Amino acid sequence: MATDNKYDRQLRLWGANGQKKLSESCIVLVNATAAGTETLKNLVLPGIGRFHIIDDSPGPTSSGNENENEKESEPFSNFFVFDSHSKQGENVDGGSNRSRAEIATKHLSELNPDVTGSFTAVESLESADYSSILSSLDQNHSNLLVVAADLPSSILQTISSLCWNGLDPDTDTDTDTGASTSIPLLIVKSYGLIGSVRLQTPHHPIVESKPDNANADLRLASTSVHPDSFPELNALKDSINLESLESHEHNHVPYVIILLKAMDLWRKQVAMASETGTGIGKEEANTRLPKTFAEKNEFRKVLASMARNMNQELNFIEADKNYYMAYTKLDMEEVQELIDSVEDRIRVRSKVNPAVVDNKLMCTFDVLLLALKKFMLAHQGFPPLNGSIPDMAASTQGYIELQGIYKNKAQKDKEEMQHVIHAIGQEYGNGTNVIPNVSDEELTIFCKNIYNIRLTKTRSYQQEYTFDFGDEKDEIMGEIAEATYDAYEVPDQTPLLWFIALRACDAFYDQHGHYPGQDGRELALESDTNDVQKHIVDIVEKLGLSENELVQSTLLSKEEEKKNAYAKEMTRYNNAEVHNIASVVGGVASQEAVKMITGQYVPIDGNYIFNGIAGVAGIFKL
Amino acid sequence: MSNIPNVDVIDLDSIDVTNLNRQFLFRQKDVGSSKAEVAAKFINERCPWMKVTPHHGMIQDKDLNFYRSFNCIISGLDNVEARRWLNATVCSLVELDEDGDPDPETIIPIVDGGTEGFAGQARVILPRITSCFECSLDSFPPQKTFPLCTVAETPRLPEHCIAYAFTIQWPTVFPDKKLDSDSPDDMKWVYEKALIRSQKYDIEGVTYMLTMGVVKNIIPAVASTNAIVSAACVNETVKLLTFCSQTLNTYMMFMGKSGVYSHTFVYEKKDNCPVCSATVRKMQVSPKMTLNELLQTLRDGDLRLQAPSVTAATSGKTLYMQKPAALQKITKVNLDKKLNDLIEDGEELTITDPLFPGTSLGLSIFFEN
Repeated sequence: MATDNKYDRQLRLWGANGQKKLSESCIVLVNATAAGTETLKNLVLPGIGRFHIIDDSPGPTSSGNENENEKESEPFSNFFVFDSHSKQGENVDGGSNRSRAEIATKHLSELNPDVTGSFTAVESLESADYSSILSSLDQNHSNLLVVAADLPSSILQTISSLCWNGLDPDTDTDTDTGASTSIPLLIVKSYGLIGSVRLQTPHHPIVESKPDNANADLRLASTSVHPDSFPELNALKDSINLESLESHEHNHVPYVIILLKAMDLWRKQVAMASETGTGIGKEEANTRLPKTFAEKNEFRKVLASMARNMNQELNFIEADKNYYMAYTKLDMEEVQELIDSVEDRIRVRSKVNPAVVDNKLMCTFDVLLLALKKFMLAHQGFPPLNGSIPDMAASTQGYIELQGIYKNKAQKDKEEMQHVIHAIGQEYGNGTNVIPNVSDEELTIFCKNIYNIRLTKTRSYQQEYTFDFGDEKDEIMGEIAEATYDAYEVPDQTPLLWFIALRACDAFYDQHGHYPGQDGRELALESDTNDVQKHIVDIVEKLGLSENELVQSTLLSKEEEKKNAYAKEMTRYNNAEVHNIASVVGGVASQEAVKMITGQYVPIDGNYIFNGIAGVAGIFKL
Repeated sequence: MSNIPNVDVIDLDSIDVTNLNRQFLFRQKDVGSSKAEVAAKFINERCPWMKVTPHHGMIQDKDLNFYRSFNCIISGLDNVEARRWLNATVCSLVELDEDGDPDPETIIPIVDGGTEGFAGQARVILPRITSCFECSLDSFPPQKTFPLCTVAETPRLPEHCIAYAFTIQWPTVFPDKKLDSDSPDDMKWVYEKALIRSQKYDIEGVTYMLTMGVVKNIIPAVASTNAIVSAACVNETVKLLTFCSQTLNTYMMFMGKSGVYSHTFVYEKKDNCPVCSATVRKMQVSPKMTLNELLQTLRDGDLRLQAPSVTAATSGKTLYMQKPAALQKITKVNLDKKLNDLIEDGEELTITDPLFPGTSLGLSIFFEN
């Protein structure tokens, strides 16, 4: 084969940087159900550092038949948990003495020699000391991520609280400042034909969100209005005289230059118009950009007039396709919010004892944002330049020259950012170690991704489970209601309805200590169904959906055929482990875990519900 | 894992080390061995109730009777041509009764899944009932290549230098040897030549990894997305085989870069789909068009055929046959003839192509005035 690197196909998604973070991570799985082990499988394969399983189940018991020729042919639903008495040539353990934790650890570790697996077989998941197990696993808690699989809400609330607040009892998590060493948590469930994945993270900064259609940062508008902000580009533009070029040179001028020249030409026309009495001052004309629809159209016409043959000159065709880049600024809305709030975050965080929070007043993310804020203030609101330009029709030399100009400015901007960061250190430092070191690599990546910076912060599982909406009540209930107007083609299969039904099973467990449908007799099933339905009604009310049309015609339907249909179906499932559903859940959850660990791409904020009946899914933020 | 014991698996590939990050039935020691055989062995041992039968070879090596023997076909094929072939084959198995309705006994569902990085899709095809793969051909545009003049004369990107090395330099230096993208020696040669060219033009960025990506058109692949899509496919297969619940209607897509976006919708049948609809297409051409030019249109146009053969429908006269060699030699002479010398205005032609085994296309030619 042409390469030795087994991670080649994934490096092309998250790079060496991301892979390094994966290799330094530790994933803790609580409850080795199929959904849990499937999640782990998809994390062991790409090369996490280590995993640790906490589980209270005994291993599958041996069939008891000592005859080695008789194969165990009872299907099992967990690919990594099976009696290895007669499997795969092994005759090692004697089956029944090993815990499920141990068996799962063994078969998962075997997938990838780069990964270390360990386990703690506890008496009961209800009473396990999660804090002490997690603390013993890693000195630097920031490498931990917890996956909680198929757990009842009482245990989930314990674990989610611990993860939300971090292992140190002295910190309380403030989602706005990110103070605390919280641990990201993925809650997964595979229940009959319904699956769910929910991420909990109070503060997850993202620099490399890698959006699909990121536009190049060409700075044409700013260069036109403030020529001093990018003198080299203007000099290049001025050095080219389009009229004097031979045709093969003319059609190889990069469109960046063409657009800048078109702007000059358009302004000349505007200035001339003003001289004939339309009232625009000459000075303003020099820095003006097309604003109205008419002006923009006019600009486009001016651009077309510069071409010698608009149908054949590729560079002019590209210029026309990208004409708006001559006067528009890249959208910075989401980033602007983060920039505006950084000083407040630091102020509040300074009230938290910095000695506890890794000795740092600010996290790296805030240092970078603060530096960005100061840089922008000094540069008419423009951030450091990314430095990359897209390919465009041009001669090799012309392109390389243009590319060099952008790269040089980006380098200069980055160096200035370095100075700003140093100054911040002086300003806030006061000699004590409260500013984290920002590595050159981190700064380079930051400067290349200014427009892509994001911050993900979810609500806590606790808040969701107790319907504690806080100030977000209207927003959340509004979004839930909206989800019902966007019903699936077969409205009964709308994922939100199944989310509610699944929640009702959790409520049933809280009430009875087991999931509905445990006792297979008809009367018991009926009674369980009725209880589940009661919980459905209750949850519907808490979500403000009692009068909702979709809900009334489905979950709350009184029609003979449809009455209690969801409750009946969930009772029929009795928390059955269907491997395919567990596998979908494991796929989604592991993907989110990778995003959390690598800090790239954007994780989910909400509950992902997979409805395996109709093959349809949705996300709801609660 | 759903207790469906009788499974046949066909794959022509051998295991590569770069498969190991996601293809979890294979280990380092299996590199170089047959995927089908190793996969079957692993499953049969881990899950003793299973009887997986491997076939190391191309899907095209099997005949209609082979495919006819299955209740459901799952496709994890990694290219459009193979999917088209499989789709046409399974669709051709459907028999129509006297009323022209498909006989349900002859309908074999195809469950098709594919992934690319963090995105993926799963779909259910019920031949003749739902849309088939060919109905959605437009959503798989032919692979874009770099313009020749850029590659040859004005390279700007490292990719252009790499393209030059493997599309122009290699065939010049090794006219009789096809580039083997799995050979480290061949790839090293391409990389070094690309590097030299890039240095000549002051272009940065040529790396071995980029070279591989460009030459092999590598699509990033990870365990998680593949798990989602394959599980979704199996979920549908189990439901199709057991009727225990409703099935996916008909197409589900996942996008996982930002959150998880899932969208399920009905992919509608295409009215004039060459595979699953019986309509005769109409084409207007210049009377001066030659038979060869028509064949070129069939290849390069929206039908995207591979190597079409043509017969006149009513007279049965063979106009051009790609195979067997003897027939090709005899009919070759027709290629340069004008169409209006070969057929009447409005005459229907029957087109066959290796992409559509067992089916033919009807095409009526009308001459422009």
